[in-house]
Amino acid sequence: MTRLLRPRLLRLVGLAVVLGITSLVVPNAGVAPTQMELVKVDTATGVDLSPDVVWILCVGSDARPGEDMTHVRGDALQLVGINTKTGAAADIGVPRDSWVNIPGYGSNKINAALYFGGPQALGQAIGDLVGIQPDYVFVTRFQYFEHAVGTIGGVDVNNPVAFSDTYLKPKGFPAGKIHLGAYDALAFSRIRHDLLRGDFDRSANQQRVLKAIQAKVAARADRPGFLEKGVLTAMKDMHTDLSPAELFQLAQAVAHVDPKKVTNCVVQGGIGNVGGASVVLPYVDQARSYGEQALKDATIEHC
Amino acid sequence: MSRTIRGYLAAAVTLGVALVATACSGGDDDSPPGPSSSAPAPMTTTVKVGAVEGALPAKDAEQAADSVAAVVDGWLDAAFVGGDYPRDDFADAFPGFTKGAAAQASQSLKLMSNADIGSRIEGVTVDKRAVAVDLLGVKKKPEGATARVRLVFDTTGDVERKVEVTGRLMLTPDSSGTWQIFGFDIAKGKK
Repeated sequence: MTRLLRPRLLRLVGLAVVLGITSLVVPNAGVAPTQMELVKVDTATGVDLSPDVVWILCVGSDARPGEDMTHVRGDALQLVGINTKTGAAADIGVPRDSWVNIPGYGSNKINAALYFGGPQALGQAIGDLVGIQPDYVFVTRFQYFEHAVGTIGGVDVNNPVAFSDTYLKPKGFPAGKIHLGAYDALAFSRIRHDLLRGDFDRSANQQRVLKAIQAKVAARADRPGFLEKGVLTAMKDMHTDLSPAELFQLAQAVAHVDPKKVTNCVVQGGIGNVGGASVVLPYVDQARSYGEQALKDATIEHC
Repeated sequence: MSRTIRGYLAAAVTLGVALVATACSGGDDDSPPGPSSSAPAPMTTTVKVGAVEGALPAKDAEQAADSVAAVVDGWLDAAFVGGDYPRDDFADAFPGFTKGAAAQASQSLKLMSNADIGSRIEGVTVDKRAVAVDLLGVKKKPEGATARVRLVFDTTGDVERKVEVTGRLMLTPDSSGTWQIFGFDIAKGKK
C-alpha cells in the first residue's frame, strides 16, 4: 500500500491487498449477550481519522507471477472516498484505457502510469483527472484479491445483465442476485468483451464487487478479532511503511461505512484511436463533476 | 481468563477519573485512594482477553487488556457511572478519546453518556460491567485493540430504569504507549 501525503509525496513503494481487511471468523470470546428485553436501542458510531474524508485509490494490477505488481499496468481503477464522520462512501470508476497526461511521462493510457511511475504516478494521474488526490493507493493482484474474497466466503451482487467470457467464465454469470466465490468475484471484475459498453460496464461491475465486499466486512466487523485478523492477513501480503496501528485505523474506517450510504459512478468517455490503439477519451468535465460532488462529504448526488 | 479491575466512582467527572482507573490493577491490594463519602460503593469491571491475532505473548496480552480496560473504565465512569447525580454537565465525558473521536461522540451525547437523564436521576447502581479486549499483535507488541463493552445499571430518582450500554470501542496506542479511543460503535438501550 502506498500512502500519499498532502502534498502528494510518496511515502513508500508498496503493495496492498486492498480488501485485505477481510479475515477469518473467530469464535466468540466476548462479552455475554444481553439477557434484557430492550424496548429501545439507539446506536452511535464514529471513527477519528484525519482528514475526515479519506481518499483511497484501489488498483487491481494485471501482474503475472513474478512481476512487480506496482510497476505493471493497472486493470481496475477505483477512487474511493470514505467519510469517517457520516459513514458515507463514494466510488468513482475510471476506465483503464482513458487517454490522459501522465505527469512526467507524457500522454498515454492512464493505466500505464503504474508501469511508468508506480503508485505515485498513477495516483497523480487519477487525481488530476478527477480533481481529488488520493491519500492512499492500494495495489493488489489477482491471487491476493481472490484470497481476500475467499476469506469472507464470497460476496453477493446484483448483476444487471447476463454475460460470459470464453476463457474466464464460459458458463457465464446470470442476471439477478448472484453469489460470487473467490474466483468468480475476480472473473466478474475482469470480463469486458461480452459487455455492451466494454470497459465502462466492467468498471461498474468492479464497483458492484467492491460494494459487496465492503458490505460483508461491515456486517462482520463486530465479530471478535475479525478486523485484527484481517489487518494481520493484509500485512502478510503487503510491503508498506504504514504502521500496523495506522492500518488498523484504516480498516476500522472501511468497516464503519454504511453500505446504504455508498454512491458510485463511472467516468464516461468517447472511443478514439491513438497510434492504432483503441483508447477512451474521458469526459473530463464529468470526472471533475464527480470529484466536486464527492470531495467534501464522499457523496455523489448524481452521475 | 478473567480478571477484575477495581474501579471507583469519582466525585466529579474529571481527568482524575481516568487516572484512578488507570492506576488500578487486577485484583491486588494496590488500591487508589477511596471514593468520597458521598460516592456509592466500589464496583468491579470484569476484564477478558478476547481474540488475540498475531504475535503477542499471553502475559503481554493480559497487560494490554488491562491497560485498554482502564481507559474504557475512564469513559464508563465519566459518562455513566461517576459524578454526583443529578448532574447535567457531561462536557468531560470522554477521557481517553482522541480529540476527533471525543468531538464525534459529543454529537451523540445522549447515547454516549447519561446526558439524556442525568438531571432527573439521583444515582446509578451498576449491575454488570464487563470488557473483552481483542488485540492485534505485531512483533510481540500490541498495535490495535477492540474493546467490547457491556455496562448495565439501574437509575434512581425521577427516572427509574435499567439501562444497558453495549458495543465496541477501537483503540490504538499513541507514541508513548498510552491507549486512545479513536472509534466507537455503541448501542444504548433502556428497559
